[in-house]
Amino acid sequence: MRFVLALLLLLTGGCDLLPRDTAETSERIAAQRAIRVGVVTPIGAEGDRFLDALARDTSARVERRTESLEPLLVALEHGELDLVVGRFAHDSSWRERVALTPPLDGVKDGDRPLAVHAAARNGENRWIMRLERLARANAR
Amino acid sequence: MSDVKPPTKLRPVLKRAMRLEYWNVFWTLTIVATMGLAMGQSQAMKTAWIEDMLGLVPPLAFLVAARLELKGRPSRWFQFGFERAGGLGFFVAAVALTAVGLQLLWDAGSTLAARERATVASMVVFGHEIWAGWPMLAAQVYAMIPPFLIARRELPLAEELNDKLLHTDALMNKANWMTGAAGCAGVIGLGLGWWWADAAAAAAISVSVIKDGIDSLRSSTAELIDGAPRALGDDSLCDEAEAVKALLREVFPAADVRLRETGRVIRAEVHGAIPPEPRAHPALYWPGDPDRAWRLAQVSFVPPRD
Repeated sequence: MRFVLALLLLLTGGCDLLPRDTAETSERIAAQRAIRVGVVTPIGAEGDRFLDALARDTSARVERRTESLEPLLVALEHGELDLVVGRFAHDSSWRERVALTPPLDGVKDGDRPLAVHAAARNGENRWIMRLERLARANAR
Repeated sequence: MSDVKPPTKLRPVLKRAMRLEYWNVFWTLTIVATMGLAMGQSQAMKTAWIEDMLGLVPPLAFLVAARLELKGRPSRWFQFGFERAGGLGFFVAAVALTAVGLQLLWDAGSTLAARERATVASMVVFGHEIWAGWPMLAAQVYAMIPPFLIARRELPLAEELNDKLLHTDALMNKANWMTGAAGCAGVIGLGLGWWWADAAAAAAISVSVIKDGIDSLRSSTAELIDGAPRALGDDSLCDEAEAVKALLREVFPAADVRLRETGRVIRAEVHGAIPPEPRAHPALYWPGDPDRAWRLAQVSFVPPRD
């Protein structure tokens, strides 16, 4: 019973506090005002629009690094990047290892063999929620 | 003489236990559905879901065994009836409980070793974006309530019936609601940015589940291979059976007294003694509470060779 009460308190008081990032990506971006983004060209107009919206939303500048997908995703996993924007197959095995946003161009996930997504490091839940919100807005 | 049907006075209790187990199966199915919908990438959610599904094994085993015990008639093929069906069900339930504990420990250990970070991000509910952890917490809290209430009702019934299968199911339900609590702590921990909280909570719970499972396994195998009757909750020798043995030794000092348990009843063999005249009902050798005398179903004698 005491546990349930404590849980309810947490639920009512902590709505905005949760979730937080396991590796503090959001805090670092807020402090340094810079987002380290890996880009696999071409990301199309929707990819650029998404990155602009992200820069406005976080009041941070976007530092782009262009390379092929695999090295960028490995760098993302190691915490050397905050985000990778590129085209992913709907059944890509990377979906287990990184967190993908919904497609940036509004196509339903899985409707096309390839779609532009933003990928973040797993466990950066506050950061991923922000990316997902912007991706949904971008698609509209 | 020995009866192959459960004692008449136990039948309503057994039926009450069966009704409780039907409810148990129903609530477990609703939990499996709810958890399946809310389950995301959380390790604790996934293990709790698997545990909930395995949680169906003891009540189903109990229902099959109790039905056989109540309705099954001795036949040419099963001349002693089906009183030992519960013993087999107890073994199956013990295997399930141990498997759940090992599965929990393995999952938690490998998540910790790989330093895996679970992503629990947003989901859209009626046009609103919310953290997916909230529905997970709601599902976990829901999943804790039925097992908690059912376990509390099962324990007194298991004691009255001396039913180890029902007792194991109560342990399984206890494991389920404790895992639910661990799952809540894990999801909140994840929300707070502690990637290890989820798995660490699951690992701590799994150790107690494995202990209960191994105790049940030892006790159930003892019953299947004619070991001495064991206590209800663990693998120690049953006090009631020890008292019976002491009494029989007192009455037949030169004899070798052997006890075993078939289902919920105890059977005694007195080797090296001649049956007393006039013949005595097994209940007369029951030293404890007369209401529990049904536990001693048989006292057989093997006279000395000369």
